[in-house]
Amino acid sequence: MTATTALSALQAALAAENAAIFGYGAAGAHLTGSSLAAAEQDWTGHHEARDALAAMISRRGATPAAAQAFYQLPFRVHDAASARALAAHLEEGVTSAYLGLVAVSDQGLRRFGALAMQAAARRAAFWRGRTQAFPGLNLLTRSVSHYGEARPAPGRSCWRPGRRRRRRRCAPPTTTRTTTSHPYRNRRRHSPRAPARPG
Amino acid sequence: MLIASATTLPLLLATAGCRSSDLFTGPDPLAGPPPLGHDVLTLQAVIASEESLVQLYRAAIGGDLGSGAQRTAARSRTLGSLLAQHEQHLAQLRVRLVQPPGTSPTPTARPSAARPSANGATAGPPRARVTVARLRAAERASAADLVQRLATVPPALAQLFASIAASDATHVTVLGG
Repeated sequence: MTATTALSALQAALAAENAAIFGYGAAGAHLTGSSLAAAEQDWTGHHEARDALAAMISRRGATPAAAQAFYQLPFRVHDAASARALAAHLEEGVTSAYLGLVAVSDQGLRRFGALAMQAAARRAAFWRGRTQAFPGLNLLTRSVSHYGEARPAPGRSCWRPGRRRRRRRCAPPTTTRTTTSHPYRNRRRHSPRAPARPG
Repeated sequence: MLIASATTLPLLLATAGCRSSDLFTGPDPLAGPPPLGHDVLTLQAVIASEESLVQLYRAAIGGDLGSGAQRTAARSRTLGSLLAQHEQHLAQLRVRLVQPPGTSPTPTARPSAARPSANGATAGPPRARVTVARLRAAERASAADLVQRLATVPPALAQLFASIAASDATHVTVLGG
């Protein structure tokens, strides 16, 4: 597989992370207590993963694809149950995106993708309340681009860590933003760091 | 007209003063089945490891059946769902294993071969009661082993291994890891 496909796999993973960051904003507005804390932790983890992916893409001489201004959610999120379902859906999309990295020829990227899949699958299982036999694979036939095709309804609320229960219009995420210094709760381990670039 | 069979062809070739490998550019068809490729060997090892996990779960659930306690029944239900996923793993792995005719199936699949596999389980029927901690360790080892094998297999197989490893990782969490 050529370097171009490795890059495109990295960009796809980055796009999934950006979608997850946006989606957790929508989900968090409907969560409380330990679920909200879990969403905060996952939101932070996706920021870290996004930054790691952006750095890996930059090191390959390419420009990380910018996040879209708005993402169409796959279904209406109106309560805690639908928020948890959205979080699970986001994590399954991230798992599927990292599966693409496992197919590239770069062994370091394969390992990185596989470990990131494990982290995302664990988060998906947490939100879904059940495990899957083949995380990531069951989404291969489904488009993962359905997040970014339309604007959200006017007045859509979102949530960001540090602004608990306060709803505001979603701000477009950026790929240049550094990791948020939000308190990290050690509920679960997050996405692995970017591997050293193979010599 | 002579029909060259596996027995007559060497004779004909010997009479003609040449070896069968002189006539073919590919592998010698008379030298027996070709050695198994790396992918096949890897897949065989992963299948054997998965079979060990399935046996381990079955032993754990079988050990629970006799006790009848409510807590144990709940544990058995959880283990049963995890076992079902491992059986799905096994089915998918077996589908991908294409072996030449005449070769034996997975080398450690036979119950008599009770040697430790990659995930720490044994291929033979476990004798001692299988604890959750043992299952957890086996799941963790299986996930690590699959990731370790990613580097040397084709992309499609690597994706299947990575997905199964991710499933195993979620099982570790379910089992309290």
